[in-house]
Amino acid sequence: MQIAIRKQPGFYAGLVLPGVLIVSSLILYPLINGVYTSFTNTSPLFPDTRFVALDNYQFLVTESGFWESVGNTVLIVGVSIFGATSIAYLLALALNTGLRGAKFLRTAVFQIWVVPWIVIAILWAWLFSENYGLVNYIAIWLGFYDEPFKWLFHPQGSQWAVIMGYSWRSIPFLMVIILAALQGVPNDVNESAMIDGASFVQRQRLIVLPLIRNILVVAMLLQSVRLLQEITLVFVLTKGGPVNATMVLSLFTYKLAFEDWEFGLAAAAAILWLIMIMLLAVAMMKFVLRPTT
Amino acid sequence: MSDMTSARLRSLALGLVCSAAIATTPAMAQDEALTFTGWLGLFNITQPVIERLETDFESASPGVDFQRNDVPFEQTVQQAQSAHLAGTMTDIVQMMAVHVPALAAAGALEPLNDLFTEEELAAIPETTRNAVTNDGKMYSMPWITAPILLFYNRNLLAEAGWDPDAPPQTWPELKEAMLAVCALPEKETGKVYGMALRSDRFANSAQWTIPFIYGHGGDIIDADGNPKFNTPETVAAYSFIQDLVAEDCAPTGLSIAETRNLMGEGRAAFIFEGPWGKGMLLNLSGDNLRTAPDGDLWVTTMPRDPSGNTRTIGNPHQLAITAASEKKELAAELIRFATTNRDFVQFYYEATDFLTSGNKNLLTSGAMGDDEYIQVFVDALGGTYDNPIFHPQFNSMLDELVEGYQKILAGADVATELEAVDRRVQRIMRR
Repeated sequence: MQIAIRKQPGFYAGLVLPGVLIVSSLILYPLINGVYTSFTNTSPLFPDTRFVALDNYQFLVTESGFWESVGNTVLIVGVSIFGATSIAYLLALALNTGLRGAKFLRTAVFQIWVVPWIVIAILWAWLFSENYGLVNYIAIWLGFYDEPFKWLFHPQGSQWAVIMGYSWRSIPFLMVIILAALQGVPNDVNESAMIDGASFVQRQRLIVLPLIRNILVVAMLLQSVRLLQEITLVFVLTKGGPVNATMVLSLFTYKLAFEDWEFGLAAAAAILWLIMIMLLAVAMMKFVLRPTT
Repeated sequence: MSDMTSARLRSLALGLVCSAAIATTPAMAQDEALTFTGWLGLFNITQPVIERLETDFESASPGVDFQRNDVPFEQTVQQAQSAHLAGTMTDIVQMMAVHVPALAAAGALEPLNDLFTEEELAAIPETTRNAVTNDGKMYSMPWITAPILLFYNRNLLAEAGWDPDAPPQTWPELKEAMLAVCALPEKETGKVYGMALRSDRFANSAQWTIPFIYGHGGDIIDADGNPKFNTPETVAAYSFIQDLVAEDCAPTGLSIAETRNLMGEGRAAFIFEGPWGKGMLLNLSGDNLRTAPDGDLWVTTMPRDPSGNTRTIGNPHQLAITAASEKKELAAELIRFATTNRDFVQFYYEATDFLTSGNKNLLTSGAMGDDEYIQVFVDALGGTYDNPIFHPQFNSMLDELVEGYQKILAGADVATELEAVDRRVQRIMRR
């Protein structure tokens, strides 16, 4: 192959050129431009754009709102991913046993995946409405509390409402990936463990989970990135409130860019956010992924 | 000349005439386009208005083609900023007064001073003009003037033992009335509140608390014109609201729509609303709550502050000419037509019950002059501050305020929170 490329470098360069151009214009240029913008005071409100060095970064790291958003993001996305993965794992296990109606259940659960975020946001607003919401109706009927709970005006209540929305929307994707991974686990391994007397829980913990570990981690990572980008649910449901309890990084950045018109500051927030995602990905790959044999 | 030659010449002549006709047709048909961005075309109630503006203006200005670009109300400012940056602004943009400072700072708007006469501008109430004027340049023309006033449920006031013809005139009286109403027994639809209070995490919720500050004799700017929230008057205003919530006399966390629903259900005694309140609350109540001096709902000016004045905020619709427009004179003609043509202004008023001009002469004469409802709003115009601070990041300041406001509603110390708001606002100002 290397010889062929050396013989006809122009031909092979022509083959990769379209891809290089598309990636450069759609990914590399915005990324480089974003990094550059983060070192400027770019804003339609300021007559002159000038280089401000690290001012934007300095402003952000000393801004309590930024760190609140980081904390909220870690909490909301973290709990959502672990919650959704646990439920998705149980559903995938159920579907993997070949129980009756498995196909229907798989299709039904996957329908959630095609529901647009905006629809989920509106549904959630109805469900968690203080006066008319189904959640309060059921909770009062079951006797959990006497008066309607202000889900969306209570800091922890609103965080849980968002976590439930994120988890609900994440389950189908994770379930399908986990189901595919489970179907790749050789039956004989499981059967041998059963013959050796391993319980269901022991088989999951000691055999199945280690075998599908890498796929699980990659699926969780992909879904985490998707949730980190998500803005619709919090924007429609709580607008980041109450008292910033659901102000996640995506919404924080959006507000900087399109409500405060501070493009430079928003770019700096996005770069910091990108670095955090990269660190998370590197950490997961280094410490959680296991080399396959 | 032979017949054949004549026929050929006739054909040639016909061909030339046809070619000339075809060649000139586009030029004749190509009217001068005047482009407009706004939201009137997206609402059933206002769609006939923008269509009427189009036909009437085109009739009055032969050769002009009015081209409309409908944009959802809540996206107007984002779309306008994007269009300005992309160089695709229309000639005229409809916006709220609160949007004007940011677009003016971005250089997107053309000052109107040279396009309208001093007499025309002087016909607009001074406070309304000042709200969109910076350094002597007026950036937009008020189209719908809209003081935010106190709507009240006359039935609930009567049930609570208040004379519905004598609504509260001071803030302590207002509080007394609200507490009396929220002590009423629950309705079938739920608890009755003194006030339908906005408090979701939206800058607009914070803006809607400014009348409380004015009512306690305060302001959100200091003597030098800088934003200042932690003052004794502002502390008193937010303590007033905090008390209401603590007494369970105002719900928390409600959005604009939810407060209107609450009022429409007849479960709140008071709400701050603009002139659109009449039609909106009638719709939301299923045609049950009629706004009239002797009806179910009525409207009154904000209660007096300790010095006897009434001040409020406004949320008027504006028409602005963009700096990028190449037809500024024509755009000014359209704005002049929309805001001062008596027939059109009358049509708009009849379709909506809004105050359909910024021109005080039109607002106080004709059918609008005879409308008691409209005149309550007209009387309030002198004390209406549409943009309490003319600053491009006024919205960001309100966003900081709403955070503090929500903490106050949750029981935090008022002065401490307002001090924190001041610190955050100062950070914005320093940038």
